[in-house]
Amino acid sequence: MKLDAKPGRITVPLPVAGGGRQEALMSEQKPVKPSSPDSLIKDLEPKGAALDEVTGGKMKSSDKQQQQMLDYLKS
Amino acid sequence: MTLEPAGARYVTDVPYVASFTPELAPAWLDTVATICGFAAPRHDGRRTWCELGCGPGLAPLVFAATHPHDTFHGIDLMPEHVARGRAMAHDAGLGNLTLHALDFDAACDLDLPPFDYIVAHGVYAWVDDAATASMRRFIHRHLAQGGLVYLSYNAMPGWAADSPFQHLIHALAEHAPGTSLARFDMAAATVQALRAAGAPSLVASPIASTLDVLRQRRYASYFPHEYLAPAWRPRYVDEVRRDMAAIDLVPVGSATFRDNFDRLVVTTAARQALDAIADPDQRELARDFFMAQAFRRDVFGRAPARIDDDARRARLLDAWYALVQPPPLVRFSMSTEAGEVTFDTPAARALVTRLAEGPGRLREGLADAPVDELLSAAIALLCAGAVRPVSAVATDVGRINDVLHRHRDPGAGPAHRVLSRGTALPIDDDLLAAVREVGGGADPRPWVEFLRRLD
Repeated sequence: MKLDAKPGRITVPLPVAGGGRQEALMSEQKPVKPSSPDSLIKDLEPKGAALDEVTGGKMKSSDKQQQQMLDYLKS
Repeated sequence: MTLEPAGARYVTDVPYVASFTPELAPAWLDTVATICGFAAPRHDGRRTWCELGCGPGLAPLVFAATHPHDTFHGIDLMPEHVARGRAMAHDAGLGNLTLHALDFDAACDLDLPPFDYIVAHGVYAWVDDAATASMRRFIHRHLAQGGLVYLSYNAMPGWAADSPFQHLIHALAEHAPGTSLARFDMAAATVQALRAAGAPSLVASPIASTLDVLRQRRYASYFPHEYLAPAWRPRYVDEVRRDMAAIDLVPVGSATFRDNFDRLVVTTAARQALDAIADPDQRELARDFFMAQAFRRDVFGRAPARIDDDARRARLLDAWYALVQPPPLVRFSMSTEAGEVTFDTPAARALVTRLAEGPGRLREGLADAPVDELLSAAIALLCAGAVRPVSAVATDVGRINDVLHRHRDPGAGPAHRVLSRGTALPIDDDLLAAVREVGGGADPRPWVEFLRRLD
């Protein structure tokens, strides 16, 4: 596995940081498979127009946040 | 082939915006892990945290001041950033923060402790392949077992309509004279003239079409860093997951809380279509097409332990949360890519009322509320941005707030108010401007009262 694109540099697997804690960590590992996060919000369901329809086009996350700020300023 | 010096491969003549990213907080990342069914990093009362590309160091400054028993590092190529951060750290008396003026390749060889958290906000899509390889080598070497990585980046397909705009801006500015700010101004003026003349690829670009508004909303130094980086390239999620799998990291979840909940961000029809895709990485990629995903905040882990549903509920109930909006302005609804989500429930209202008195745990003062309703309300408020996960321990933040106030350059970023449990709010020129723009419809008094209560 080559982890470094620097020409001429030979890379080898590096020691993993914090290896001393691995044993304690692994002892806590259980064969559990939690439910989907959706199981925490069974009562929530979007309705009506999606954000893109509301705003007339694609919005970046940062713009969504700004829109939310403007929304609660208007409320 | 010899690489150019790192300083020639990025925008380095203009300091970046000094802004605080709340998603980088240990408590925030722990909550992402918990929601997604993973154990938060184990630590022996002393956590270790490092930011790659920390800019002027606002996040590590806030966290070092509010987590005095933990250790923080920040790494940034630009000496101006690091000098500014070090001056503030010195004045704030922060002995638990070290800032390094290094490129990522050189940082790999630092003698550092194993980190419980390594974070990099936005930088992965702004730097070239050699630098991203160095980031991965740093993470591979320095992340502790069970540690978390936050990696945010411009994403595809959300940037698809705007990529031609970025390419043109970059090409027009590349050989122009002056600073990056001047070159961006020149290129932006040309692009806007081309759009006004009807260039279809610019008319179809949401960013080109709203550039005037964006330039009013954002600090000037954001634009050259976003649009003039020579190696700028938005990533698809499957590319990034492959990169992280190569250093033995697994996806944990998203620091954009609502993106962890399919129900909130994709419609029933979309979920049914996505169910046909069994491979989780392919499914996540396809889901981004429904969401027009333009910015991802991915959280990865190194051999993170799983937790069961009971442990997840218990940990969410035991965690601390803070209200970060004035109570009268909490909307109890939010717009998502899938529609309007309303959560105006007794539990949500009770939780806001409780948290208006100060940060707390979900159970405190709300013992009568059904657990399922309480959890759902808390998650909805987290997703809507009205509430944040915060540290369990409060600290005195008078000194760090004084330092941030004294060192603030009004042209370089918003003012911030650090809160006692490990987060900060922008007391933002944009916010004030927005109040003025909205005119008679908005009343700044709730914010004034709310911020005063934080003292």
